[in-house]
Amino acid sequence: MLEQLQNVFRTVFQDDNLIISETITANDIKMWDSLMHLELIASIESEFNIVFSFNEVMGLNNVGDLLHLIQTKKK
Amino acid sequence: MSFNSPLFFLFLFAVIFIHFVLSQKYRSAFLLFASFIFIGYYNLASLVTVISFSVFNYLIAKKIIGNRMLYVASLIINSIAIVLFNYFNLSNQDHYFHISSISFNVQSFVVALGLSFYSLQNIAYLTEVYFKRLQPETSISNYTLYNSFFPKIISGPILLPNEFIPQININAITKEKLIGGFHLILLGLVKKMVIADRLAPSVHSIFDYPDNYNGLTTLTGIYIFTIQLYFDFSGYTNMALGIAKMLGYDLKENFNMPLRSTSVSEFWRRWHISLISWFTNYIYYPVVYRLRKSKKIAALAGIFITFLISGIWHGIGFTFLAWASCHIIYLSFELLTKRFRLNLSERFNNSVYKTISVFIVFNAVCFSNIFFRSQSMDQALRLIQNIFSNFIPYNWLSEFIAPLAIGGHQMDQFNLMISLFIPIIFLLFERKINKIANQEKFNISFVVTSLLMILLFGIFASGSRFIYMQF
Amino acid sequence: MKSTLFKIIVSLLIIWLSAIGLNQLYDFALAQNCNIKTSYIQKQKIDADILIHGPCEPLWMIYPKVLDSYTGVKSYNLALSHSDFADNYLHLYLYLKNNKPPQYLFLYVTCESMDYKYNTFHTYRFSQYVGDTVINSVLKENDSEYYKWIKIPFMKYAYYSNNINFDVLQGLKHYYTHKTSPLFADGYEPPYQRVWDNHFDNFIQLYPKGYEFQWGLVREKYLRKILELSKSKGIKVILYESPVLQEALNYQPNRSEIVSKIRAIASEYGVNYIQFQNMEMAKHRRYYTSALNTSMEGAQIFTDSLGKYIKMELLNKK
Repeated sequence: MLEQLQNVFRTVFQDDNLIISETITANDIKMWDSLMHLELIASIESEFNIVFSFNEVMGLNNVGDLLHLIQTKKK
Repeated sequence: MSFNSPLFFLFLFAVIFIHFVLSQKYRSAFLLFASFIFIGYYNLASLVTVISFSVFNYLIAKKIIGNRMLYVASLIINSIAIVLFNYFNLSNQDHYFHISSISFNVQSFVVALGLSFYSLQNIAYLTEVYFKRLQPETSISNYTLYNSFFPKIISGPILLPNEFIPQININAITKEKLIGGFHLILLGLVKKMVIADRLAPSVHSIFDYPDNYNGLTTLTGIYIFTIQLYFDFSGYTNMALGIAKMLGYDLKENFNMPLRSTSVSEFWRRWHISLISWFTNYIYYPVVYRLRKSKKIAALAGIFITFLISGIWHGIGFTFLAWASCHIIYLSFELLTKRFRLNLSERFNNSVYKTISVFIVFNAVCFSNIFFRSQSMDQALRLIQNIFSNFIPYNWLSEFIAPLAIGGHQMDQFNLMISLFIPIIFLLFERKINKIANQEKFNISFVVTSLLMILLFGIFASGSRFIYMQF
Repeated sequence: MKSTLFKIIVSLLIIWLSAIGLNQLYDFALAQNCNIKTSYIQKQKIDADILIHGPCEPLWMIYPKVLDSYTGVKSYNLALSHSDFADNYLHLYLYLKNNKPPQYLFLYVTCESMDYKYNTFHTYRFSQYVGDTVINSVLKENDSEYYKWIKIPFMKYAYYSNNINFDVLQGLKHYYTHKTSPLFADGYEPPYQRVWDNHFDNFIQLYPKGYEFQWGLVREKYLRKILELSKSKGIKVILYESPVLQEALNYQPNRSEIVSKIRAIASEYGVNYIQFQNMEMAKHRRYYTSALNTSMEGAQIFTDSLGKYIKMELLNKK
């Protein structure tokens, strides 16, 4: 799943060498800012076929949170 | 009572002293009382307004959960207050509202100290409660203090209730807080009296007179305005934070060396931070969240709507719309070229790329500020036209120095040199200066230097009446 | 806590001592600056027979050297630009402290002199004399905000530091270079480079129907004070008005009313108010830089006529 997520990150941030891990936050990826955040979210939603609520989107702090949220949504 | 008047310092000294010696349980009541005096001294209408809005929003919040109609209606009421406030605040003439044959003098009613700031707080609070992210407050006096707390009533920082109200009952005043607060007040005073107020006449000269100055002269005046605005507002914020600290409160920092930004989006994360995070949380994200399926278009729409509203919040008029448009264009451009710029930065020497970026961003911000400062669209366009005509002055003294120094005497040149030298030095060593000012150990050299700077180069009175004008 | 208290006391002590030290330094340096008229007339005896006084019009218009060639007596131009009567009063007061009273005092009075919109009281010109009772009372009346601060060491200078710092540096320079004569030895500042400056044209745009002068009571008060001080010292005062650019008179609807009020005051003290409005130069813009101020050429013409006037009318020399 991390790999699948990583592919979404790579497409959205236009960087084929991007490697993500659970502890990575928006501060670690230069492309990841408030202007890009929801584009990333929307791509993840369509990739995993899930929907995030507004509060969930606002509560995300790092890739770990994101993974965790996707997993609970998938169940 | 402006923040650097003798009367304010007497007031401040008394408030900090009494607040310090009072026992914990009376402190918040005393602060509320002191804030009411501060606001009431400005004008009674402001006091009535802040109390009314606090009570109104406090009561609404209790009933708002699950009541969409009430939520929307209260948002509208708070927003209308901001718009009216800005509209009537813009022109100094009296305005009259005509409802059939009864006319109200609106000026004295609407011009209320800090209304556009605490209304944003109220909107944020209602939203947080409505979406169940925050419990409604249980103390009306605490809520009123949150809105009327005198260090931040004039121009923020804008806080969420949960960033302020919990502090009311803790507020332990330590020696460290008293010293740290005092340092910040001094820093703010230096920024205001030794930098911003010294630069104000040059800005006034370039912006407010219909002369066609040379390109370089106009451009310098425009640069100076952005620097003046920065030191004025960040100086005010330092003082607000310092005063709050001496009263045992930690408020959010509003500026983080914005003139060093390497992109406009970074600039907006460093300039007037509390306002921008409000806009991000309550306008930008909700809009983009709804439209997120359209990806880039969603972000662009978010930028557009956010800055449109920000423009209206800053003031009513085409100049503010033009200012907002500039930033809409800048941020859209940055959004679309982000990957390209990142690649570029990796290819070039980092410090060279950074320096060039800082310069470009500074110019972009200054350009937008032409609209921010100009009294009318005509004036702004004239200034822009001036930048691009006769760029290099033919006679440096009369065409460059004299308009900026408001006079061509040696004395005026000397003063202009000092006025420019101090902010440049300050900006170069800003990180260091901020670090020293934020120390919580009494720093003799900082205190002595600041006070001596104020004594030697501070502006106590504008002295504008000494400037020779024939009429 | 103890060490903090100690640091606070040390800081206060440093600030307090610096303020006192700076105060002394500024006192000293300003007194050394011979380009400051008040300092110069305190240090150097002028002892002129004829004193020219008022704001920029006399300052830029009356050339004592030329005047002396007509009259054969010594004259000095005490005028200071942009000054009102309170300003003029204190300058006269300071002049008389160190110099013998002149025989004649020519004081420039025009309609604008009575209107607060024009000229002002320059507090900072008198900062170095704070403490003198006469100076203090005038400061208190004309700049009460400033007056509140002057008890604090150095604040008398800090308050208007922008108008003072440069003079202090110049004063120190004069001290180290042993300079004793000012840039303008007889007080006159020639309008070398002055050309028509569009002030008048801008004025017409602003007041196309002309401007009604307002009579300022503080102005009147200090005009009277000058007249009283002169009387007590046996100085013969002549109030005068250099020719106003003729076309500008069309924009002074209540000129005659103001002039007659000035005349009434003059006659109360038994002094003359002379107007040189009939001079030919008043008809030509080329002698002017604005409605009241003249070009170099206009200044020469006016000084010549004033010289002749003094020689004929006052000294009865043929």
